[in-house]
Amino acid sequence: MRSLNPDTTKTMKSARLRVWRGTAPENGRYQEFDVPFEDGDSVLDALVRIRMTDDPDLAFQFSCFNANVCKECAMLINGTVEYACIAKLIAGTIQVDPIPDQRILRDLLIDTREREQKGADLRRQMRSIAKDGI
Amino acid sequence: MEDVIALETDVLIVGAGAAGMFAAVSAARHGAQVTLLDKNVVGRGGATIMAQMTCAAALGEVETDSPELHLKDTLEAGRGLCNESLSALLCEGSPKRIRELAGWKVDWARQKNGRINQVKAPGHSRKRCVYVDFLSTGAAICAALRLEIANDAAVRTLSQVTLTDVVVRDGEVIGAVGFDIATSTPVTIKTPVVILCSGGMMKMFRRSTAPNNNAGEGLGIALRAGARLIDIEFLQFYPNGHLAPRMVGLDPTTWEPTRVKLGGRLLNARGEEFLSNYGEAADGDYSTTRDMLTYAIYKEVESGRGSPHGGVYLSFQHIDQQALTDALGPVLGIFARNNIDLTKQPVEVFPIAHYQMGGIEVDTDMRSCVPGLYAAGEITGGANGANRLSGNALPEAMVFGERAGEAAARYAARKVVPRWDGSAAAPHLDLIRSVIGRNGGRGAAPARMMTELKELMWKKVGAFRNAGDLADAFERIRAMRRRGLDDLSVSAERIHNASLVEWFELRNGLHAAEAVAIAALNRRESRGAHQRDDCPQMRAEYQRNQRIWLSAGELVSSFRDHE
Repeated sequence: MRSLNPDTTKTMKSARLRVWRGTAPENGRYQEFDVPFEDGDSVLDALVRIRMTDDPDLAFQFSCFNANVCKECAMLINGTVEYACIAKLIAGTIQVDPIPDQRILRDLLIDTREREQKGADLRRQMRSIAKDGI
Repeated sequence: MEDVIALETDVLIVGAGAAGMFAAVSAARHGAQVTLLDKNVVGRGGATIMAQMTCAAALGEVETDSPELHLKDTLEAGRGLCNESLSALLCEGSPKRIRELAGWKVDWARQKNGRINQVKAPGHSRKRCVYVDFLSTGAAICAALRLEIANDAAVRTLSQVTLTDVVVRDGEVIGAVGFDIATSTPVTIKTPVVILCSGGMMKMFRRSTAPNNNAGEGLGIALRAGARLIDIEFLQFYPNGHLAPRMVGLDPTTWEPTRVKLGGRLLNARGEEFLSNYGEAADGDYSTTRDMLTYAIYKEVESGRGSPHGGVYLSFQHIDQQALTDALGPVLGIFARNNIDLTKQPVEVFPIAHYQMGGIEVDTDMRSCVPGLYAAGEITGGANGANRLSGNALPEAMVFGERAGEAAARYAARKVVPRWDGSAAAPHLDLIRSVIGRNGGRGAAPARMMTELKELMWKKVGAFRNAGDLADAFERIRAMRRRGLDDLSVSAERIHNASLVEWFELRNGLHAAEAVAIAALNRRESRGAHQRDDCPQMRAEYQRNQRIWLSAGELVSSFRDHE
């Protein structure tokens, strides 16, 4: 039996999240939150903690919670589109923005519905073209 | 901003996992104009997308099988409490839905001869479980269904809309009320029929595999509309839920399929395998059902032989790197990103709240006792009795969803469309408006109460229960529902108000939590997934279903047969 005693020492670290707030690109601002974390925690964990302890109104969405299957928590993390549920926290500053070039609802939340509707309309159009011929 | 968003539809479906999406496709196929809404994104929220591997269907592709044999296994696992008609419907209907999904390009894993592959899951007497791969069967099903829905002009989808009440007049459904989460605008939906497919209540436990939107709201909505719940005390705890070290990017249920696939060893703190002490056969065929595994792990920890975080170890250290790579492929990369190296260290696992066996009482057309109110999927009770077999959740969602869609479409076609009754809907709309901005910052946020409730449910209404804890939990939940809820502070924000969403999750979900607590208190025996430390035996006089309904605002329960 090799190592049966994993390292269980817990050290709380602190991340500074620089979070974009607002409802339109031209009126946004950044707000900073210091969030304690343990190694392995995700950016989504931090956002949930901010909502719990600092600001219940911080807008973002998720469903499956850290399993990375619902794909609802995509956002811009330090300039790269990532899923907040698998982006690891680091002891330092992490800038979080909504996905660019999408209609923003508020804060980190974009309106996925417009895109959904467009996709559905397009598919129906294509199907009717395929069925009826041009 | 509009004051109310007023919609009208033949069939309203609430919740867009496998049950809701199958119901939508089926209702549309039977001529109905359908509205399908989800609190999250249609086809992405809900539990289906999180389903990892097994889906049971007596296809007989690998060895001889039949729906009758599947039924026999299902009834045995249900420990005498299954509604046999519903279980039979599940077992008979599953093969058809699997073939249908294959036609919709779900890429079922195949044998070398090209036929669908099937493997044996615990509790099944045959190789019966189909899968896409060992971690993303649910995601593949959702992707196929999303496309079917998007291509169907008769189905209107609404993401980020939550239902708060079904509107009932003279005992019949005439519509529903909710709100658009993006704008907090109240929504009315005039419809003769509502199908609730919003899943279970398992989010209400601190340790849970449930998605964030499974708060049991459908149960509260159904109770207030006049429907009955059946056997709601039976909740399944998944035995090998991930515990430590911190792992993200994978479902906490990852370890059970991984254990079975690779031959992982469950060990106590002394490094001893212990399952054989609790009845698992020595040949390691992984036949132990979920309720027995959960029991074994709990008892091992209770006896002081637990791991540092209070679970047991799952070790793959006897398997070499190459074998791990061959079996797990890219999943090893996810483990590595979480600093988990299975050749060097075991992980810690412990049971985790997973699935709701009990639920809304329905007949084989998925009708509740309220005309116009249907339900399908995890939210229903009966098909799985006291313990669900691995692989029976997906077919339950698909078969019942399809059935509900057809039955609801037929009901809607027969029904003279009821006149919308503003006075019946008004109290529900007034409530939504009155909750926005309530108590303006004086009082705790709903998220606080949610956290307390999850802790309470985990500690006192969990996998092992006793009368004292259950009575405490029941009283506390009842107080939260009757008084605590009114004191919570809800934000006045209009655009995506998370505290408003959570307030309604609590308002409806507390009914579900309270129902579980009282039902578990009433069932003074241990059976399947309901284990009472103070009543450890299964008792013949409790081989009966327990029903719960609301009477004058309070829950009433009975073990008597209905009708």
